[in-house]
Amino acid sequence: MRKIGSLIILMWIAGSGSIHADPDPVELKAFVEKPTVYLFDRFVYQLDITGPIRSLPEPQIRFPEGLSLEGPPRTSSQVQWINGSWSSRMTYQYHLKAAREGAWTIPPATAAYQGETLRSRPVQVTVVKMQAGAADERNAPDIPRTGLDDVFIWASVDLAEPYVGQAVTVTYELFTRLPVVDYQVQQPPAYSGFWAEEIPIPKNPQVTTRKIQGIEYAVAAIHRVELYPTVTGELLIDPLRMILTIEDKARDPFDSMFTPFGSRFRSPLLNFKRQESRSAQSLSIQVKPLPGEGRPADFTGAVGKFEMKTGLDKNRINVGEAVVMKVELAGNHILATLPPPRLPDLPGFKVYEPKSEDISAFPARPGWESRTFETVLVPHRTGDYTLPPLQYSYFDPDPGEYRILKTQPISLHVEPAPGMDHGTAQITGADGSLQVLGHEIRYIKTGTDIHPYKPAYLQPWVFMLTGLPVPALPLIFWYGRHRRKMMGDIAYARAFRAKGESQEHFKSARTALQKGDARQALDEIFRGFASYIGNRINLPATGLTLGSMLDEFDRRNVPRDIMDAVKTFWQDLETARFAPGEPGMEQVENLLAGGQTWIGRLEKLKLKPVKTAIGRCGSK
Amino acid sequence: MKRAAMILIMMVLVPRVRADESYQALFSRANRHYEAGDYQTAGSLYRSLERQGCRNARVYYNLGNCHLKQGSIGEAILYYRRALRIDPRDGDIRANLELARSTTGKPIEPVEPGFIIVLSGVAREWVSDMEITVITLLFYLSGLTTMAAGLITSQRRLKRRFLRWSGILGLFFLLSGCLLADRIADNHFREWGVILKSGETARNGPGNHFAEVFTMNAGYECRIIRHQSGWVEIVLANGYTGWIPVEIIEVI
Repeated sequence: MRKIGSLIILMWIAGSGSIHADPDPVELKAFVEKPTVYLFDRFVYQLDITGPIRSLPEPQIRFPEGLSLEGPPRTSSQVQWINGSWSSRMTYQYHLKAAREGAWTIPPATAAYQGETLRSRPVQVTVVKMQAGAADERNAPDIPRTGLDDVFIWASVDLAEPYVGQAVTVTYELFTRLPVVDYQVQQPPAYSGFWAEEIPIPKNPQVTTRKIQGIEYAVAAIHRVELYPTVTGELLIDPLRMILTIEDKARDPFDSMFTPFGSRFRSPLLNFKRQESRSAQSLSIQVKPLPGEGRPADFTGAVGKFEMKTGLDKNRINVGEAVVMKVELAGNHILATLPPPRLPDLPGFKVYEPKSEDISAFPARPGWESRTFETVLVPHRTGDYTLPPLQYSYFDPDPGEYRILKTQPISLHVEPAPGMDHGTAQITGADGSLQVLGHEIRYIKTGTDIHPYKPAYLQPWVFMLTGLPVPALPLIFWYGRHRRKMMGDIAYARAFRAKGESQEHFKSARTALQKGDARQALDEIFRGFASYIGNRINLPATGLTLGSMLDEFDRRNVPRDIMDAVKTFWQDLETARFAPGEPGMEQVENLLAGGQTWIGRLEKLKLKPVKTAIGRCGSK
Repeated sequence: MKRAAMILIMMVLVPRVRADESYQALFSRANRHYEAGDYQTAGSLYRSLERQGCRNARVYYNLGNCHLKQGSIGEAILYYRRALRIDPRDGDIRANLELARSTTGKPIEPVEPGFIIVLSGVAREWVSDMEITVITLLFYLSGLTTMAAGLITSQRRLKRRFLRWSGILGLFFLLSGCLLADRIADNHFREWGVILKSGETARNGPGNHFAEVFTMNAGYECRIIRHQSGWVEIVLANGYTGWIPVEIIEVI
């Protein structure tokens, strides 16, 4: 907005220049936008160098310590050719902050030009402290304007000197002469030293008009905060910064090309919106301490005006049954920060932690809130009880004194529990359960093992282990039978071991072959084959002849083709063994392979003796 | 193949790890609220854990604490009982359950139970589901193994010894199996409940027009016999039987 202000000044100066067309002497002029500013407020000190000059000198200036310079000056220049002569104007804008209270004189600025020293006049600026609570002065004509703005935000408090803990409402109002279509908080203040709570305001606030220094502004409260000072002394409320969206209707679309200020865009209906940042002024308030005199012992820091009422949800209950005591506290203080009213000692009752309901509006008094605390009481004994009154202390800032709220005592009749002897005065007296009630609840579990629980008997591994014996049982039975047969049935045992024994001979044959001893290999092949046949048909291997083997095969119903093939193999083996000269290695290898092949095929045959009419054949 | 197996394992394990992490985060948050004295918020967070399927003794116990702190005796007993089902020997759960029970008024004198009921009750109170399952499995497998050894061995003396042991282990298996079956029936087929409201009256039939039989306090534990048109028939530990509206009872 200051940029726009600068532009307006420039345009105004330019307009003035066009009226006074005669060349002027070179001049250095200084002025401030307002002679009186509030502490911590920002304002502009401006230097104008005018005259028929083409190159403009840079002025020199030192500001007093009470006014701090915020950044380098902003400059702008304008050159005009009027009636055959040059006229130039250079503007320097210095943005200053009123850092200290008092009357300050900005000394003359100087600038060197053609061997001469241009000098401005000194400027007086008075910095005054903002008087908080000046809300009513907003209609007064001396409300300061934050620059040459058509739009500014003004902060005010409803109370300049609150007590610590007393609510102070800060209202931020938007003063505007331009259509502001939207706004939002850009940077909320830190509110150091306060407990702050924002008070919601409708997005379309109520708009009024006010005149300030003869200029009419549309005014609307756009932000409101309730502050509760937590410390005493002078507290500063930092400026609130907001982003405003301002609409400029039906501007020249080409205007934006020459206007470097603000982020501007063109709407479809030739409406232009730009966003501007504005800060409200800072405020300071003086927080008074609460008086120590007359402070009640149970005072917990409540400042304001309060009301309290209590009640039970029922007045007749049984022993051990829960009754709920409701305490409603209402007041114009922010209730979320206040502890619940303390219950008096209630002997004979188990008192649970109070729980509170949400804070709600208190319809009986506008602007007040109410909060209900519920405490569960469980009586241990029968009888008529009078619950003592509750007490709540607070500080009332209007008269500046402490006050104590007291409720009425409440009656409660406790009857024996169902199933209990009506004459019993004390349900828990004899069995010691009263002592149990005195114990505190054991603390919660805080470990990390919170896997979802699934009963063990539904876990897959349980099913697996349960089903494991099903396939194992037949195996166990088979193994038992096998063991028994191995120990009692020679033919079974020999047949079971037949292949293994023959494989050992074949292994020796292979070793002999590797050593080049073909004859030894042939002997081992024969022994292996003969021992296999002997074991399978339960005959001694030594002395086993081709004829006896074929007879046994015939008795055991071995297929004819296998019998013929085995016979051929046996003969080939015999021929090779007893042939004169050294047998060929390839022939031995073929016989070894043939032996293994035929043993493999015979292994698939049962070779059991066939039952005949005269009985079971074969021998054991 | 190895990669496929790894992917399969990751697919199975990763969601569980993530779920456990989210349970842990929620559990820690609830614990912080409890520590700050905000039992209502803590309770709702524990309940959301339960709703998400995280039925765990710690969650139930802490939830019971939240209710006990707020004076909801019925709910407190309900959740302690649920916690105790999972972890029956936990001292904290038992202590707080006793504390909650002691606030329900005069304890109900139970009817004299038989030996089997006592045995079942003791097992239920001291042995967890996991333990009774593992014990039963051990008896089952060791009994079968000894029997198999007896069948295989050819030495008569050894065979007799194996078979005798298998018989003994078989008996233990039967006993633990009965207890396990009782536990399964308890968890899945029998219903136990806790009365949530005090001063409620049981009637001798499923309706308000039936005669009143007895009154109850919140936190009374009972066995549910059957449901009928919004009413349940219950049996208290002292053998009292009556019908109550389903709203005032919660199944454990």
